[in-house]
Amino acid sequence: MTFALIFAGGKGYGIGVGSKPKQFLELYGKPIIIYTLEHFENHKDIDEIVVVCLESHISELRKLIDRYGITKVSLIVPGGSTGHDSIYNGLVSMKGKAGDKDIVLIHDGVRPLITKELITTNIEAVKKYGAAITAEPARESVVQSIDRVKIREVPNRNQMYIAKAPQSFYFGLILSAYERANKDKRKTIDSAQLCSLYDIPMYMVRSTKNNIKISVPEDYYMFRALHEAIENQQIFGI
Amino acid sequence: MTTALIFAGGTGQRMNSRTKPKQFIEIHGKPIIIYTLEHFEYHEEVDDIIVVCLETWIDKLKSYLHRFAITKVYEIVPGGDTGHDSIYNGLLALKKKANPNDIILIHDGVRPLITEELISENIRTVKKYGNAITVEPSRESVIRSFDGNFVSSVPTLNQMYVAKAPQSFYFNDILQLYNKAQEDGFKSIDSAHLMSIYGKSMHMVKSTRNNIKITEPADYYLFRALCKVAENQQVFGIY
Repeated sequence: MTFALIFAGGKGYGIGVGSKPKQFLELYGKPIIIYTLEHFENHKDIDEIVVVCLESHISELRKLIDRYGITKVSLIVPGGSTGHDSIYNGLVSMKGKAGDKDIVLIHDGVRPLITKELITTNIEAVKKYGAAITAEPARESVVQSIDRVKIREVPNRNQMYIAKAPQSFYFGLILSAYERANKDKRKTIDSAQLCSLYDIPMYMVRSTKNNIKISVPEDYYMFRALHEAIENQQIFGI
Repeated sequence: MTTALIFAGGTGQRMNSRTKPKQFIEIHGKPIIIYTLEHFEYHEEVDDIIVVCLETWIDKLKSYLHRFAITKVYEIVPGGDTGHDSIYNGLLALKKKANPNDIILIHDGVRPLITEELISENIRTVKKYGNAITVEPSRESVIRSFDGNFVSSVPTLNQMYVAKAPQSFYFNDILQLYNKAQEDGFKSIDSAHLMSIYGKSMHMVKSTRNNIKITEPADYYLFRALCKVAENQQVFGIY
């Protein structure tokens, strides 16, 4: 079995729109989370979807899933106080249904421009390597600063990548990594950082283009612009 | 004196625009390079501008400068084979007139969303600390991979920044460094990278928002969308 674990637990502080978390912002009347879910819904290799959702918005999400004809969501669980806790909640809730050798693709609800191709390459990479992290070569120099004032290092750019999603694993592997972190009381930014802490080898899958994360207002405008460009391509074939 | 050195030497191979380098692509009838130049033109602390331009486009750029009333550009020099060479060409051309203690802001022609505030902050920081590298905290995890296939490390996110532009220096410091690189036959990705190679201390300046570099089609759409938002703000006063 192959599962998608979608994180929709963020409160959306990055976007100044009052009460609405960013994953529920709408573009042309459809919420961003639905754009994201549709890619997994329509992918033949995905069997089930588990969504980790902001507790206060679970009933709204249920209605949306129903309205947009999303049928693969088998479980919606409440998020935790951090992204790390939310993913952990999601993984724990899957214990009854997922086996060690099942595959889980962990994806952000606010990355609606994921593609069918990227889902496929993630699944293939897990089968081959056990852990797959979607990444993109850094397009601008990356610099490191320990004190937030001075630059400590500018690593060679062609060794630097930006982590995207999905981040995909055998279920047993990633669950045990999060359980270990829980025991060690460590919280991580994402699963890639977690696996790196515990020296779990990860294969990098090259992201398809425009796999943006919508977290600040300009991202929303970018999504809208890209969405429009993608629709225009249908006509002009460019 | 404070001089802006604008790099407009790229050929735009990633842009799908077969005839035009990306810095000359137009948005609402105005080329991207002009949007960029206008910010330096209108900044009262910037005295003059030198542009490093793709050789075949120098005449075209001249006509644009005229048409859009950009008056501070006193020289246009042809670019080199790489970004590194182009900046070096620009610095050599500057030698004729610049004093060692002049401040040089090196900026990308394809970063049109630079702000007045960011230019001021760069100048202030050079005066205070000797140089200024514009950066933005990385919003997504950064990965290092030595072989391009497997993750080697995931550095702590709150220590990681993305280098933007301008990157600003005292003229003498940056010229000497590029001279040294020339002797050593070394080419860098950008000036920050070069500084790092030679172990120079660098001071960071936090970028203003949306300081994007237009290198791919998606960036063009984003720039256009952001232009529209900025224009709408004039009317609604939001965001």
